[in-house]
Amino acid sequence: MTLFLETLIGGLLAGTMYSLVAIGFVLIYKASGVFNFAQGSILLFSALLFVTLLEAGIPFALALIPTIAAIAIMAVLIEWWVLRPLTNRSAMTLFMATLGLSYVVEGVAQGAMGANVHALDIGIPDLPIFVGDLLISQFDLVAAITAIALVAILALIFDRTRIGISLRAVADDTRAALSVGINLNRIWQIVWTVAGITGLVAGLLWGARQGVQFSLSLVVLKALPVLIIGGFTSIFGAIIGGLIVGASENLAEAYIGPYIGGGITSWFAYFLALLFLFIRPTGIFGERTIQRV
Amino acid sequence: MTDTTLTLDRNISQPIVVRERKSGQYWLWLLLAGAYLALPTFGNEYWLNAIVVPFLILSLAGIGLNILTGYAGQTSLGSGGFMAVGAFATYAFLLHLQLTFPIALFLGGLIAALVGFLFGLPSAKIKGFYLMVTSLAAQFFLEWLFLKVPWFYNYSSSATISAPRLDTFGINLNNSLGKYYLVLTVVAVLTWVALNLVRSQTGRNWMAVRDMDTAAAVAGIRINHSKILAFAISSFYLGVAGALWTFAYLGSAGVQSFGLSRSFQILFIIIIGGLGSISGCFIGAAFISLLPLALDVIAQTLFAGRVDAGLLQNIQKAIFGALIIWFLIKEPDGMARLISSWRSRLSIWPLRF
Amino acid sequence: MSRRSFASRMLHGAVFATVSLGMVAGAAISTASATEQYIPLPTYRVGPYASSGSLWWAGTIDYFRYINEVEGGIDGIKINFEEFETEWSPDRTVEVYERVKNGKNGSPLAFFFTHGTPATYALIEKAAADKIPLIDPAGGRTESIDGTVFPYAFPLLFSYYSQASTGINYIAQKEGGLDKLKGKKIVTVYHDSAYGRATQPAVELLAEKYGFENIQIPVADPGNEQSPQWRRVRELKPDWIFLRTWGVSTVVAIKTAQRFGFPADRIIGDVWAGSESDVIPAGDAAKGYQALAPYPGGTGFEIHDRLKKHILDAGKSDLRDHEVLRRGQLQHRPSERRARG
Repeated sequence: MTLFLETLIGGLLAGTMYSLVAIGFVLIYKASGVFNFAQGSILLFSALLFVTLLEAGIPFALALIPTIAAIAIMAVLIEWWVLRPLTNRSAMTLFMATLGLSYVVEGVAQGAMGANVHALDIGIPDLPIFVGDLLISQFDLVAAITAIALVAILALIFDRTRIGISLRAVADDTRAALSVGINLNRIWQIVWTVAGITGLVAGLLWGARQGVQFSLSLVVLKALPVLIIGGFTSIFGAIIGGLIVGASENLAEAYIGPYIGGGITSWFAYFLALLFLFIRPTGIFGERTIQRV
Repeated sequence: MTDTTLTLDRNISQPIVVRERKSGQYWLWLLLAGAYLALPTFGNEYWLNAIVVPFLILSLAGIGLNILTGYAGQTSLGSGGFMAVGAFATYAFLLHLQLTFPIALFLGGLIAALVGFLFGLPSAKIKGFYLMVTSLAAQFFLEWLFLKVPWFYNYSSSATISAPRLDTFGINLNNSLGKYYLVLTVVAVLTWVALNLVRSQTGRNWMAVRDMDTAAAVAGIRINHSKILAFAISSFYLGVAGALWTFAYLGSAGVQSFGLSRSFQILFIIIIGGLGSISGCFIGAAFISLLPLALDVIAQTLFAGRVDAGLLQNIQKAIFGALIIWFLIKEPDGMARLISSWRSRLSIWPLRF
Repeated sequence: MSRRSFASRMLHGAVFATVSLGMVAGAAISTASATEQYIPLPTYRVGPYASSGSLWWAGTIDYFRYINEVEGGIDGIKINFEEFETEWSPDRTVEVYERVKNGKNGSPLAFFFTHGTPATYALIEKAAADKIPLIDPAGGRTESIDGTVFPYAFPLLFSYYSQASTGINYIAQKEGGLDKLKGKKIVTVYHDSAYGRATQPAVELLAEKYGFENIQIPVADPGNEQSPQWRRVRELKPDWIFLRTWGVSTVVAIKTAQRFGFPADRIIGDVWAGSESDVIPAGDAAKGYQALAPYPGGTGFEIHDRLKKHILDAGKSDLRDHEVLRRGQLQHRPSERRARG
């Protein structure tokens, strides 16, 4: 029984880490209709930059400023060179463009900052807490709290600030937003920056957990099933999706894994997503789309 | 006053016959002859085995993916997995049934087609982006399968498969020239089949499904059959390419040769070469094969070899990504369209329009 | 070539080989027109294994530079080394091999470093057909120790079986004797590739012989998420762990072990899991972690002094990230006692 509870709790907490990454995707998808495959590379880039600054001796809080500035600059460049020329193209074309973009960002990040593994200490020791006989990872707990805090902050931004409302308008109906006078390009830049900052937070947490290096960008492959289950357009859905994926993945590995050789976490989440696609194609919290001829 | 009435100096009841230019076909035969006769005579072994053979195999894989993504419009990131199926299936036929290589290759392709058929079944209900996720599921599952089930690689400790003899009806083709001819023949035959396929009703159905499948269904095309057929045929090509890659190029391979980066590589080939164009696959494959070499040579000559190999690799990555974006923006039909528009511009040069 | 220079080249070759963890088996008989010995290096500076490999290349390249600049080459023949990026992929190593197997600028290929066990497996038959020695230090195909069967494969220093044996022997030593191993549980966490699986047969045999329970837990490539594996470790509660990971999977393994409360001093890594660049990023989690090494630890050897004086201090080193050294000195270094092998 303890094993089941432990695996469940561990899985749920790990799932919040997936949600953190997925939130960045949702933001961009809501505002620009693009599934941004480059989110993983941007995550890697920002985490690497931050760690390099830290290692150069700049204190933690100060190092955040140039990193966020770099993210903003990158968002502007992406909007200029990738999004604007590809306006009105199909979603698949945009996706493939972000595929190319991920290669560019990865190449630049690793070329400029090296391929070494960097340790990242954000002040949370990765030691277990024991509740009775139950092992809970302290780090994962903090990550979960961060994810919730992030969602709360984002919710506040979307509800209360002018920019947030503009974002929601753009997500709802792009043409109507344009007709009201909202600067679409500016909004895209802002969304990509916010998504990049979300990615930075996720990157820092993932990096602290397992070292900042190249494989960090592979975390995007886990975000896909999360988004399919939770829906592409809902942040809350991203959280729920992450929880479901995290829990089921770990439980499956613990209980089904030993019978078929182990290591099924690489594809289990995808098959789960496939199942959801048959039952509820747009995800639990996604919007239904109607295809017209 | 000029007489503006048109006069015909022939009988109006005779039909006007438009003859298709035959010169294109002659070039193709010339190319084939060159590939069979000239290249082995004048090329050196390194070029044949390290450049031309992988180029041909990647073109074949590109044709496979192009059938699915370029012609039928179903995006798939599972190409690597299907190539692996072909490779391991061919291995099983070679090992356990001791079949001659071409037959084992064909049967291996059929098994890959079967697997493609299975993973293509969801395409009836799932479209577009979500279908891509299905293909990713296939990719990851197949990667896992060929590592975890030792039967596939005959319980070898390194999880790799290899074929010391490429027995083709008695002749062992496992030498540099033999492998080249084997690959060339297979690719030539399958390309011919693909060309005919895409110009037939099947191909037209695929393009209809790609452009707007609801409208195609309304027009009476059986879209589900069409899609699943595309999956099966595409996987056949990918499977054959995978088997050739393992046995006629590398010599021995494990499932790591067919990972997600391989799927991306093939997708890049068809994006750069041109979605929906068979000749584009060859151009794209040539690009992907030669660009790293070209960059290496440039680096060596310009910087006298003092460039960090890792930096070069990262630059190459960034260039690839930038090229993909550029092609998608400027010329979504890829290099094939670029080249054909250059040709048509050249034919009326120095006029512009 | 006259016999005298052939003999002195052999001597130089032996010296060069021992320190750069390679052995030129059979001297390179160069043509009269070659002025340099071509040595291609299929390296990986990109990807999840780059951090482990970069220290290795630094050692090799610094030593080659030392030979070229300070010693004037091997008997006057300078080494022309060239790097090729492979990302640890056996496919790409095979491509590199095909490219370089005919040598360069008149210098034939004397031998080929594979720098990776999967690549050795891929090339072992090709190299035998081309008659080019493959060198794989502390790794490669264990069966290739038998030179009568594999005449062109040279696994140096350690094979995987001897690594397994050394590891188990060290564990036995800690337990107080080989007979004390009976009934103990030793889990091997391994990278799921030809590399990681190479020790399985040996450990199995030893388990049968000495009566300990042998459990193997795979980590899928590249191993950047290992919670399920270490959760299973926690469930199994083994006495010792034999770590057979490489690249980023080592860092993640050590950190995840800490997260699941498994003590680091009960983890013994093999030669490739003991790279400094993998252990330092693990930080505090690696305190007490031990790994095998094919040479005595420390930097107090004459060759280190020579390299330091001529290459490192002169700024000609290939060591990209002096940070690795500096960080190691600034931080409290995780204590690494190395098992002698």
